[in-house]
Amino acid sequence: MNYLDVVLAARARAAGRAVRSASVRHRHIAARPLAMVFWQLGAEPFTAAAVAWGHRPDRRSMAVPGEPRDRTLAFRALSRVAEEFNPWFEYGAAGEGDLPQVVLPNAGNLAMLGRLGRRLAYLPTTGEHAASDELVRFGRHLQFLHEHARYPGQQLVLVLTDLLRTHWATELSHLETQSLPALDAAIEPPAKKSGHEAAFAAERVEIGPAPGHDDDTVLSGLLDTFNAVRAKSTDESLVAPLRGPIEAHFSARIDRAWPLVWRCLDRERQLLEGASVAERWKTDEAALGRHFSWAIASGRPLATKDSSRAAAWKLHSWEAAVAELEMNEAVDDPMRMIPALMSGRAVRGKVIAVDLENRVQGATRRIRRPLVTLETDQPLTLPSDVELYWSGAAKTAAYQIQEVLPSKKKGCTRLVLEHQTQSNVPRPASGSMATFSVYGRSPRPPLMLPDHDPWTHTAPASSAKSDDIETEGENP
Amino acid sequence: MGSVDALGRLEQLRAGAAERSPDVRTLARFASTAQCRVANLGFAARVDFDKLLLGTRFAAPFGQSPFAFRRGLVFEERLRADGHQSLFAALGEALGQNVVSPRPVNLRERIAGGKRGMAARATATEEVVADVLSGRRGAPNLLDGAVLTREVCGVPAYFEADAVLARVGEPLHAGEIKSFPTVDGQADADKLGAAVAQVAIYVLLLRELAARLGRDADAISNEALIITAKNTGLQPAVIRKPVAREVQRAARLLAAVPNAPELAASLSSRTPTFGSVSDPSAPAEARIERAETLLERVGTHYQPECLAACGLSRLCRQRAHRSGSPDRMGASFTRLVPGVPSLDRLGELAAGAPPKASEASVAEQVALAAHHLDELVPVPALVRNRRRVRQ
Amino acid sequence: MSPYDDEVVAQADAVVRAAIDAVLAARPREAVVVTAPAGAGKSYAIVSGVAAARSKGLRVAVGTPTNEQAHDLVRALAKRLAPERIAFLHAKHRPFPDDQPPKNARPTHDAHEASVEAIVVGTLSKLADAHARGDLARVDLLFVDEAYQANAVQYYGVGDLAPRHLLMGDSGQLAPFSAAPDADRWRGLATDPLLTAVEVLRRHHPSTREFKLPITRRLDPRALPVVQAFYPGHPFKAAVKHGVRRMVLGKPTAARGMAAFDAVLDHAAEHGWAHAELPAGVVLAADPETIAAIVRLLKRLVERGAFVRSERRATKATLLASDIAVAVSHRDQRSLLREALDAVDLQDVVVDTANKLQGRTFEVLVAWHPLAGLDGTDEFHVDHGRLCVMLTRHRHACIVVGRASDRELVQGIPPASPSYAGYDANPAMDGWYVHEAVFAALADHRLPLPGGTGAPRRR
Repeated sequence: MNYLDVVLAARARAAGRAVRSASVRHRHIAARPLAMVFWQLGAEPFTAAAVAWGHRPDRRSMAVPGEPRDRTLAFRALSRVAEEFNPWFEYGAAGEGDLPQVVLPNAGNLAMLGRLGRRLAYLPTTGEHAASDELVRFGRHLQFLHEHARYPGQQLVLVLTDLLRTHWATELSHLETQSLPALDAAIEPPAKKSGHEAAFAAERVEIGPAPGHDDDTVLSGLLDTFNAVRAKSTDESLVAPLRGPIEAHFSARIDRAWPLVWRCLDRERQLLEGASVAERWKTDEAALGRHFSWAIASGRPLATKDSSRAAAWKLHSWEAAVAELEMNEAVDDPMRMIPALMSGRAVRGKVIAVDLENRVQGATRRIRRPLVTLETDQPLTLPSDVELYWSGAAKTAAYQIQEVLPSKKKGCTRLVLEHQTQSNVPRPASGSMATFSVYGRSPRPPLMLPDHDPWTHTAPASSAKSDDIETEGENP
Repeated sequence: MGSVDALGRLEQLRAGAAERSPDVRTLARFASTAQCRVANLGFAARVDFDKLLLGTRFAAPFGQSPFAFRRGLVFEERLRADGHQSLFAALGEALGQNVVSPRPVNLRERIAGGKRGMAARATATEEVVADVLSGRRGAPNLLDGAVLTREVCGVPAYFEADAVLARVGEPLHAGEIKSFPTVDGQADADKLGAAVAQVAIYVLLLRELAARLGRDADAISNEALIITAKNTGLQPAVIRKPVAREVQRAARLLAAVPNAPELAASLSSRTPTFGSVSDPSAPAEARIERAETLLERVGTHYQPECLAACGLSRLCRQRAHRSGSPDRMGASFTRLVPGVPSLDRLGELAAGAPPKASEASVAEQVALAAHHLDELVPVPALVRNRRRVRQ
Repeated sequence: MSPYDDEVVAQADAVVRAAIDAVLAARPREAVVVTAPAGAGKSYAIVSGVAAARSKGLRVAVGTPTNEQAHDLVRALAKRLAPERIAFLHAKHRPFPDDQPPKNARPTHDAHEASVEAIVVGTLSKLADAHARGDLARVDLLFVDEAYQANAVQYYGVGDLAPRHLLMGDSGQLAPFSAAPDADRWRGLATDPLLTAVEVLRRHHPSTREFKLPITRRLDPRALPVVQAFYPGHPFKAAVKHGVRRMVLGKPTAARGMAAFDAVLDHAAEHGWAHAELPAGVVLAADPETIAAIVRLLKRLVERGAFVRSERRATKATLLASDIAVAVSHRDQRSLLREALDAVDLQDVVVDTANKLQGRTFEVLVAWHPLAGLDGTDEFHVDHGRLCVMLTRHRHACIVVGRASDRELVQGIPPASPSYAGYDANPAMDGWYVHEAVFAALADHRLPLPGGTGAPRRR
């Protein structure tokens, strides 16, 4: 939270609906993403009572096992998802010249992705309780997506509540913005309703994955009947017709979420994409490539826990990514620069002079160091040794503050900035408004780690036992 | 505490509203809403807040899924099967002790449910604990369904849940069975935190019991055992947690429960009763109006966290919204705007309205932010004209 | 008569000797941990350890979390071990800051060059990087200073640099933290990258021997009743005796509205503490009134002038502006305070956030209380490491500045807090209790400062 958020929230209240908190779109939206919506059974964290998926607002597929606590029925339903998901994820999207992007309505669905992935990725593919390769690979993909979703600024997984929060300011508290129906209603309330009223009504609309009390009470009766009639049978010809009422139950609930997901996505699509979004899409592509070469080519599952080394890498890369994301968004979007302007990390003003021929004494000869003079009406709280970058070309060399002068204009200061390069690179034009900030270049040096865990980070004897991966056998 | 008059007055205030006896869950809720006077009053008067506004548009959406309940039962049944075999094995492994002769006692099996059953189980629990602490050979080493009791707000409260009391070596451990999973060594931090806070209450009450029995409080371990489901299945995974600081917190929590006589004395006779708010025969709008009067007279402390804890929270949020209170937005927001009463006022200050002295610092910041916003940000660039997608 | 409590000093020396003996006698893949309270003379102990190792002909590396700490150690080692050469391995753009490094110091960014010497000093990151690239040769013994500040990643990189380690650190320091989202996701696991180096050893090598230094050399005995709250289970005493250190303020000249400020200064000079409270109320983090109050206090202190007498010299010395620091929690507090102090010619007073002040010493410290003027607590502000750093930098006096309502924030029931399997600490709740204890210990030093009231707390 910062004062920009405060002002935007006040404006959202005055407007009676959400206001934009971004002037460009900070995430890529693929041409043909895959939307997925999950429902779980009560507090059974590793069950999928229903899964819907599809590439279009008017068409979706749905898999419902009937009794999701029955391993055979559950895996049969999930296999249906896997059979469509895997080919699309592994090469279908690439065939269309894009990366596979998964769109989820809320954070609960993302957590669900992780839990299902954890359950499926380690299933044995041989022996009495063998699961299909397809299902296991599906689990590994879900696990990868769930893990990758934590990477700051990634775009392979779009969680809509997060996406909307990035782009809109509302009167809702953080807790309330977890509800996609409420957030959507606050952004685009129906005619004659305020965002608050609309959100108040919409927050009661359950879109999963955790069911509400009333929904599950209804389901409970349907499931009891289903189980009584099938009498533990998993024969598809027997259970398929019995599943009808349960499918209808979930179908109605998925229909609450499905158009909502696409409407929200389409609304964000209207916004012009930020300049650095494409660059981060390439980072995603590289991560996806690494996953494929591991999950498919090597055929090995991810470790259930990060090693010390893997955790160190992740932490380092996340720290770098979070800094880079902040930089990218500030450079791409003037609105995101405002917090920096207000906290002594950026300055904006009018360029009143550009001296391209300024020279300073270098180690051996005089070298060119162009000067840019900026006139600003902001109070100056920049540290004197700060390195600044022109946001018009943030990837070029830094500027240093050479001098701070009083200005004839009331309440203004003049800042003489020295560009630390003699090359002919873009510089702001005299007479234009320009922003200089700490955001530029890529800040962090790479992390070098030894190839093996040092003795300090490993137990002396092999007292550490590996966690057994449970095999699933029992049905309820 | 608990003068008859005060309790009578609180009884009058409840006036037939659905009752909820204090237990670990209501205590946890009380702790999270301790700054709210209405929540205090309702806790003291044993009002079930979740049911108070049923049938109005502000009804709380709380309620547990029947499947959630079933998962817990299935998990517990598995732990209890064959003389608690798998529970003993898990506890033994966690504590590094092999239990040679398991001697479980299940009070749930022996004593019927209901309020009278609770009292009987509390007595039975005292007997078993006394037996265990006496060090008698052959005393039970696992007590399932223990019930501990203590007076809260002038009435006896029973703390049961699924407590187990295990003696696997020295000293005695209190534990709690939770069906949430521990996946690859990690559990949900909020769920685990709540479970730990719960066991801390048992530890505290067990120590008080030990003291009543003339035993050393150290006979009860400062370590909680949380029995969770391992990974994606239903095998047990035991988490050991030192709880000294949580026990200290539990003691403060029990000491801080509302003083019933004081609360009762502070209320005017015109304060609407909880019963008049929950009255199903009254029109919803009238009930809401009474509730508002109650909230107004007694005083509240709304914050977004209330939405997950209190049955009146939706009405409180509505009130906060109406007045434009920054409380509506949460602590990270209010921290930035001390001295400014509402979002509307923030809007005025951002637009350059002259601030009062108490608003000056905030006004400077919001005006600057608004200045940047107006100068820097053009109308968002759209790819193409917005078309209606809503059918 | 000695100004020191000889018994405590002897005990501390014995602990240092025992720890050094233990690491010299350790088997390969064994480490020794020395835990110290603030200002225990850790650097001196490390230099002693290096000297002992060198007398046995061992090759040694010394690593620290920050550059500044490494510079200090290079100076200390070069001085005490002269003429032995000390290599300082630094990053290319971070050379040794002194124009004239000690004669026997060898600053270099070339790890091969550094490997020639028997003693190599550097930041943990630099040592790790050079070692991972195969440029820095292994040594016999690694010393890690400020090991409670070093995280598991930094320690990972130097783990195999030596088969035996001695880790030295102050357990009251701020714990390693990360700006990455979700950085607590490994909490409780042995592989958590945000474990301290000391915790890494405790998790993987639970039999690691641990020594506790029973001494503080920086703090005066008067500081201890407050400071002990940060070190539960770790008793220690001040090296210097009661009454040895004294700060004498110049007589106040009559000035309007300065009585309350003089009272605070006089109390702090006499008792070593003052807890100055502005009127109750909720204010912004970078509250202008608190800034004004701190500036007035310091301006008054410098105007009145002060002499300090200590165990170091027989004569009294004038307190300089550069002997004074202000510790804050936030960057905006720092920049606004810096500006305000510069405006009244107090450029030499140091202002910085607590994490930047770790390891530093001043004669007088003003602590802008982390909870000052807040509406509620959270894990950041209630972190007792931050408060500990603020309250343990001074040799003579510490003035805590806050608001009269701050104490209420840690009264009653601590907030419910999340819990992690395998992670026994509970920073939010521990911090809550420590804050409460510190407020209680400061009760006798509480003095009011005039000012406006902030907004009422929302309740």
